[in-house]
Amino acid sequence: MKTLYSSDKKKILRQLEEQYGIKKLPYLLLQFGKEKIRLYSGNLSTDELFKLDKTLRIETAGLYTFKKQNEEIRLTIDALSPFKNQITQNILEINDKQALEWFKGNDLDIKSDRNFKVLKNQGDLIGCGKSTEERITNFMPKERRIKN
Amino acid sequence: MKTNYEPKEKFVERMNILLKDKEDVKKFFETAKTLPKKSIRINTLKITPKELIQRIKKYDWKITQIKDNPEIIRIESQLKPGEIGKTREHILGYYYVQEITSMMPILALQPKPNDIFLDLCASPGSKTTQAAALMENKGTIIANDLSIGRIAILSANLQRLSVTNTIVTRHPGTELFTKLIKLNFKFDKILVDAPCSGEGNCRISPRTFLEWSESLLKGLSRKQKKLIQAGFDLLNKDGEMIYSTCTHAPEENEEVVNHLLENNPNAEILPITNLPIKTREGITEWNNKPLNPSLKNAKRIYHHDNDMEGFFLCKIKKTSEETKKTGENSI
Repeated sequence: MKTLYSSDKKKILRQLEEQYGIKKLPYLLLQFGKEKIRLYSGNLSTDELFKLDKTLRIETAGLYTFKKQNEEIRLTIDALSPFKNQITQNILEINDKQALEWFKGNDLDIKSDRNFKVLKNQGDLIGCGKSTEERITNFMPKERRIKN
Repeated sequence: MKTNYEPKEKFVERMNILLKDKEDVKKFFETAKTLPKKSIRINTLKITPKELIQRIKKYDWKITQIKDNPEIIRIESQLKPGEIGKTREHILGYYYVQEITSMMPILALQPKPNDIFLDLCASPGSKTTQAAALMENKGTIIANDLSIGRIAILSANLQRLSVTNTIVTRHPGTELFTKLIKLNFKFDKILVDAPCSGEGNCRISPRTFLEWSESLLKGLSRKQKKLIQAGFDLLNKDGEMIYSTCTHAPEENEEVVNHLLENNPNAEILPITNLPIKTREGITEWNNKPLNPSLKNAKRIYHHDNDMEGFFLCKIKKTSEETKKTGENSI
């Protein structure tokens, strides 16, 4: 477990603003592995977390929120809730049929600019996919998908 | 389709002693042969009860909201297998499928937004996620469990419900306590939802009757006494702990708490007054052995009283930082 320093956090926030319009990140960011960033909203200080990490077998902390993919950031489906009031860019409204395909884990044949897209249906933010211009790649976790 | 097993003679005898009334015992065993209704807890970290209820109208489920707890919903309709876990609202983490009696420990404990809270045997995460919602994702929860498989289930549920204030650890309970004591890391609230013989789960796990034995209870009781003491040692002064099980055996319930009271003059049982379902008092005598009279403030929940599952819980406060009586804590 590694705590991200404020310079790294600023860099991430700049990227989040550019991609999604997210301007505030009032949480501690923790890095597990090379790419996965987790958000911790609790009241322990960085020192207290380090102290615990040295003594305990910590498996995870906070919410897996985003993954760095090349120079871009992909939001996890569960990160959309804490940021729902801040996400203003790259939102793609989809219909019910497309949403069902998304929940099944299928890619969507939608032409769009080459960016990560936050998918919206019936007022819900239901996931974040990568547009390849021809289609939206699905990242819905396997265990959450609706089975056919 | 449910496979039923006949309860062992000794178990029937014990339930007769616990329930006293023959009609009551009859109802207990009749109910044991049936399946309980499903229930859900609305994840208030993501959606309000009003919004969720509006959304699930499309499923035509007949629902009942629990008085004073709008986030708790019982589904009265007969559901198809897996139906409740396949909805988009479930996928999006708007609700958690949880038996109502298993929501009682957190309702009794009432963790607050800035509390430091320990959930000792946390998987699959029902009570951890319930606590996180009450704490509004503030404060800190340490959620512990033993095996990597159980940790994976716990982590997946914390993720689905967007819990952000929790640290997940993997240790045997008593080992975790030793490490935390060394760090002098203490808690405002602790839940010791102890591994138990599961008599209260016999409606959904009929094998409980098959696997039940008095020696099983004795072995579990020894482990539970260690866990409750370790939990108590980690409480701050004025900190509160819930000890709970999903069983009725006094050896795993009142006797465990009694053991704690005998060894810790600074342990006090608090009354629990806010539960929205029918409960009965804890017992103060078992096997001709008198137990601490304050154990009547513990809560016994029998499945036929609420058409739910069975449970036991007791709320304990640490009144001072006095150490336990020396030489009297052997198990």
